[in-house]
Amino acid sequence: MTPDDPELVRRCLAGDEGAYRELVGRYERQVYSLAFRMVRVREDAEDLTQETFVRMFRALDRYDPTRAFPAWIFTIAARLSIDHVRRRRLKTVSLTRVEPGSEEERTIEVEDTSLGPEELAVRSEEERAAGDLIGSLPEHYRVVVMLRHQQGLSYEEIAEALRLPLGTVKARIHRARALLKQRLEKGT
Amino acid sequence: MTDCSERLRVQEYLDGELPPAEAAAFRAHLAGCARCTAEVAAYGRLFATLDRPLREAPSPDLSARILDRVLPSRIRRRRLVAAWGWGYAAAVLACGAAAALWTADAAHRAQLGAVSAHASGRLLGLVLFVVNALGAAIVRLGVGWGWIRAVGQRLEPLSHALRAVLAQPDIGFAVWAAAAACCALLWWMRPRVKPAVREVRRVGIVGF
Repeated sequence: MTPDDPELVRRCLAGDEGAYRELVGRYERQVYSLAFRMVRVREDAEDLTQETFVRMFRALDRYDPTRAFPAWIFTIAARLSIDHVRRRRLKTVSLTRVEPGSEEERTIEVEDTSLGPEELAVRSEEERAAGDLIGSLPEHYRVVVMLRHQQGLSYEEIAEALRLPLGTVKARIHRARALLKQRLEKGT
Repeated sequence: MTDCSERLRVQEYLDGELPPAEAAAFRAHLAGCARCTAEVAAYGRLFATLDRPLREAPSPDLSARILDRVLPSRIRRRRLVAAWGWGYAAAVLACGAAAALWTADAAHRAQLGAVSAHASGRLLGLVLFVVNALGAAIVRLGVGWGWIRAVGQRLEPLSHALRAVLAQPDIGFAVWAAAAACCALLWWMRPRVKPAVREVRRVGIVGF
């Protein structure tokens, strides 16, 4: 039977290196996917994934077993990714868009989503559609959509992870979806 | 199609955020509102797209890199290697400091100079012996070839002069030091092959 996350954490704290390997194998790809969607550079995403695990294992004795483990590790990954993006502003092209009834975020910055021919070739059409949609969002929308739809975190967990008020998280997710829906409708 | 104020609740409904009674009421509303029904369908398609797992794969060696940084046994090994490195550096510094203190005394400096001159002389003698032996071997190989002998005779005064100069301990030491520095420089300038930094991404035949 596959051990659950709290059991693996307990074994890690007891020094079982097999449990370390298991936890890394279980979450490496998801953490990488989140980091890659945020920073869009493969090498940077791998560095962030590595740093996420290093920090997670260092803080393992402070993990609260009543809290979902994925939410905890994605919290670390999301914070690191956001810090990284803020430090290294991505190349962006600006679109000005007035959102009705909103004073906040009137200018939408859409990243240059062009990818290399190799990556374009290997990704399936559906995956590419989802990836491009998420990738076209500004970073503060992208991270909440990733955490909600790709990592399955609840609104409360996202709010805690990003240290934002719950209302802000909900508003951002709703606006991001509305924006994406508009783009989908324009595309069809 | 007219707008509907209930449209704003579509996302909360699809997220399962509405309380059961409100969700039931919204479902009932949907039966009679084409605008909201279309909105639910559109957001449903968007949700399906966004929920589709993105399967970017990291490099195959990422797990190994992570484990190398987090496994307790490897952390211990790294600390041990670091401790050895610091210990070695400390020992070198201590030896250097001891040598500096020892040579601060004039008598010790004189003693060191004598030992150095003696060692240089012996070393130079050894080199001259090797050069002579090689020269003799070449001349022997050239017996019968008059031109080699003639060249040897012509160069003999030069060879004598060179030997006399090199027999001076200071000059000999300087020549040896220069030779050692040249060798070190050549070693440092040797061509190095850099490992490839980027890997070719492996792609499965089914696309992931």
